[in-house]
Amino acid sequence: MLTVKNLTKIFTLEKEKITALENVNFEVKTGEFFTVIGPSGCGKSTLLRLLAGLDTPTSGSLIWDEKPSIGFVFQNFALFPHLNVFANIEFGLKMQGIDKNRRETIVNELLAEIGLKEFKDKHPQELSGGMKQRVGIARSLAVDPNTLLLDEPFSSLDEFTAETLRDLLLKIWVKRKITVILITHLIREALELSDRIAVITQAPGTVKRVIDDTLKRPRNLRSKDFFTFEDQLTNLIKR
Amino acid sequence: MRYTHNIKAIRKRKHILKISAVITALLVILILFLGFTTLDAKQFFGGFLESSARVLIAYFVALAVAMVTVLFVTSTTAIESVFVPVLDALQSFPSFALFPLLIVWFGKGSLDVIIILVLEMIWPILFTLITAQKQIKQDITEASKIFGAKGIKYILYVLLPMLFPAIITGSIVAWGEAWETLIAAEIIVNVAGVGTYLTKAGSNGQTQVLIIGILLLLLILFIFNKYVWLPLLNMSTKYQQQ
Repeated sequence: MLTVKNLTKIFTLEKEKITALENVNFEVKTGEFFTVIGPSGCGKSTLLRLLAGLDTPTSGSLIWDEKPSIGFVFQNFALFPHLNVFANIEFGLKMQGIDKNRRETIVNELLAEIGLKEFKDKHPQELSGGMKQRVGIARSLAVDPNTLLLDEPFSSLDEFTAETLRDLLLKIWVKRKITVILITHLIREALELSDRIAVITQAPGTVKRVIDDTLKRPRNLRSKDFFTFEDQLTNLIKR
Repeated sequence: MRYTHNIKAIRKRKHILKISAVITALLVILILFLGFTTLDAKQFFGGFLESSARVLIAYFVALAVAMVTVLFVTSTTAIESVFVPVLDALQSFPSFALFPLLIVWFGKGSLDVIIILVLEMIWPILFTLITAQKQIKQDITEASKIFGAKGIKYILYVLLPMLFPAIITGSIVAWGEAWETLIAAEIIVNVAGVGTYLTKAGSNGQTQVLIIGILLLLLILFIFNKYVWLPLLNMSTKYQQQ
């Protein structure tokens, strides 16, 4: 379990102080699909960067029950341009000093899982957006994380591709039983995927409410309950 | 399939043609030289080799110094804001102004030429590298951190390969400038080399030697550009960020 307590992050930009996050509180249960939703600029990406250890909070604390091993999926993929698909997925394992045979087994399994076996020798610039994000997901899974952090992973993709990748993400979550923390600004995406959804408000960013997404899985995006939830979330975010 | 095979065959044939053209050109120069001049062939071609060696040595020194400087200068924003303007000012300093001092210190010799070459070649490489380093996107450095590439691992597995295209473009510019500087520098210190032989030939009125020398110089530059820089440049486009 992860407990976020009174988390505050203040940036200093040219002597001006900007409060990105103020007294953020929530909990994420182990194995849960947890989503943080809010309008752009509300500090949700900052929150994820704090969780990933890429930045340190100004005050407050992050308490993990067990030592987190983290996989991170970026909005703009952040694949290494000098490495091919195989080497991109292999990267984290190589940095950990895992031996070559083991690395090959893991990467080949992942390539099959994301359906990009034939593309393993291609470089990122030769791939479509959807393929790139598949590689991004595989790269983050290679290190066998217990927590997967995703920063608006489908925002730079077209809707059809995004839909397939959401399905892939759900499959991965079910199969691996890992904790997933997703950042998004899309209400329907949050409702389709999550167990619980934290709504963050703007300036300064703070968690307004955490709602339980009780819709039955697999979720029907055209059901009456879905629309009710959608309205509820929309109102929360708007206000 | 037959069709693609044919294309391959044509490409191969073209390649052989190019190589034989280069070899023929070399032979023609050699024959012209032996037939028309009174200069010692061994000395003359040896001079060309020496000149090339100077450029090569200076290039590798300049590259190494530029890389270390980039790693240092871009390590923090504070260091960058102090040192980049300093380097910018140093860049415009005319390196030939150091010649008298170099001669006092080291006497007239190859070392002076190499030092001047290094001072000339370092700037294009250094500044392309600094620019390229700045263009590495934040999420790439974050991904490196998350997937365990910190410190020396970051330099080896992310930074250097990502700077590779810049290393090549910077090197091509530096290489071009180097030959210009080389000729002038060799004339000043009067060591065996392309520059010296061309001046000698000029003052002795040996037009043939001048022409042969210039042809040979062109050929060396052509071979290097065609068979070293161009393939490297093509290779580096694969590494480019979008």
